[in-house]
Amino acid sequence: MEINTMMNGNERVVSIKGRLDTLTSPELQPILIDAVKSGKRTVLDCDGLEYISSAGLRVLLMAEKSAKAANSGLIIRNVSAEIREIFEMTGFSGILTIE
Amino acid sequence: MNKYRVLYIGGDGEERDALTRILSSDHDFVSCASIEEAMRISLRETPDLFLVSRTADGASAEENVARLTDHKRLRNVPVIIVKGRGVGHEGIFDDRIVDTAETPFVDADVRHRVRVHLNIARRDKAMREQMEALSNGLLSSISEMVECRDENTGGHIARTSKYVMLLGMDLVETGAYGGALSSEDVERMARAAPLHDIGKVGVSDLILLKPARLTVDEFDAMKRHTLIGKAMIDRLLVDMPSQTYLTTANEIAVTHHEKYDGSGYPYGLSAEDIPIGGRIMAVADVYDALVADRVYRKAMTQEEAYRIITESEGAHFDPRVVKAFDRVFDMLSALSENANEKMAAI
Repeated sequence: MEINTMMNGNERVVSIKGRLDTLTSPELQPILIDAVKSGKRTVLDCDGLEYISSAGLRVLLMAEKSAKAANSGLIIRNVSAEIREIFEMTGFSGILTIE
Repeated sequence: MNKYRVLYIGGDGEERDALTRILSSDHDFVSCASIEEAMRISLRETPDLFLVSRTADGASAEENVARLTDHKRLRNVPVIIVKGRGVGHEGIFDDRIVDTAETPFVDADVRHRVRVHLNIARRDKAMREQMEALSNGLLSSISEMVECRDENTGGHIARTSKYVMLLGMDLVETGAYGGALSSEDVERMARAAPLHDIGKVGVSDLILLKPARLTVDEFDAMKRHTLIGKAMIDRLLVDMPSQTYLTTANEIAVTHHEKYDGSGYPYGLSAEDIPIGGRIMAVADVYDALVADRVYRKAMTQEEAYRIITESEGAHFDPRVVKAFDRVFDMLSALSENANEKMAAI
């Protein structure tokens, strides 16, 4: 899993590539939670995301909750058709903000 | 307009350069030298057509086609094999191979073949999507009709399908059932889940909507919704045998009230005799019944529901599904609270 963070204007963009599962979720979790807690609007760019497991979904839910608490906002962007289907089938599309 | 993606797999540099020259102005042409690389690239973005040749490891075009894993995303991608003129075919038949492009290439001929097969594939795909949308649409309207009769359970069908998906994803990830449960199985179960109570259309309103406790006879009639559901889906299967998720729907409809210790209905099956889909559905169904707001009562708290389900481990529920429930409980409760908020807002 490859994780990159950069600023784009006022947004913090976290880009992920590879598989988000039990093995890789612990890497993403602190980075994403720190990003949303910073108070800046955070974009999770999923352009290179190939697969997401239930452990990966959990990280997104935690980040969404932290973003709400910090009033910063989390946006999930560039989701492939397959991952979008998983968001829909799990009901996560009703919890997350997906662009 | 988006270009179609044509993925060439082959180890010959000259061949690759020729195809790049012939195809790259009209198509999104990508080449790679090995099957492993091809799998990586195509699982990231499904190609519209494969051009498969021999590779540097000595494998022939046909052998390479056989090595393209039978992944569901790639199952319907047509394959054109590349062979030298006069080189015989090996008698390996693979449904995916639709044509041969011979070397040395005649540019116009290669362009034509690629275009023809992209066209056919596009039409096939549109047809498949229409069929799927039609059958999904029909089945979800049927399940919604069932739900309409029972005003108490608004949204139950949509929610339980999501819970099945989350529980199933966890069970696959943790390998709880080893090879007996794949991601594809789970997806099928989640698609099948909305039909679990379809047999309720055959239960009298007097019983289904009775505002008081059911008598023994009435409860027996209520229990029959599992068998009625099975009979209804059996009939659907006769007309739509290709919809494999209906087989799963059948199992779920008839077994979602079975209990792990054998005390459930209609058959009194226990443990491994209950299909995994029925065991997962049982937890999703009960959890939703406990935490969803109903017209006549406020929902139970998440903590109470958690306690009831975890205490029924091994008796009502398969311990593996209860462990999954414990692991994904944070996500299930977020989803159900989200659903209750939306219902309250209506």
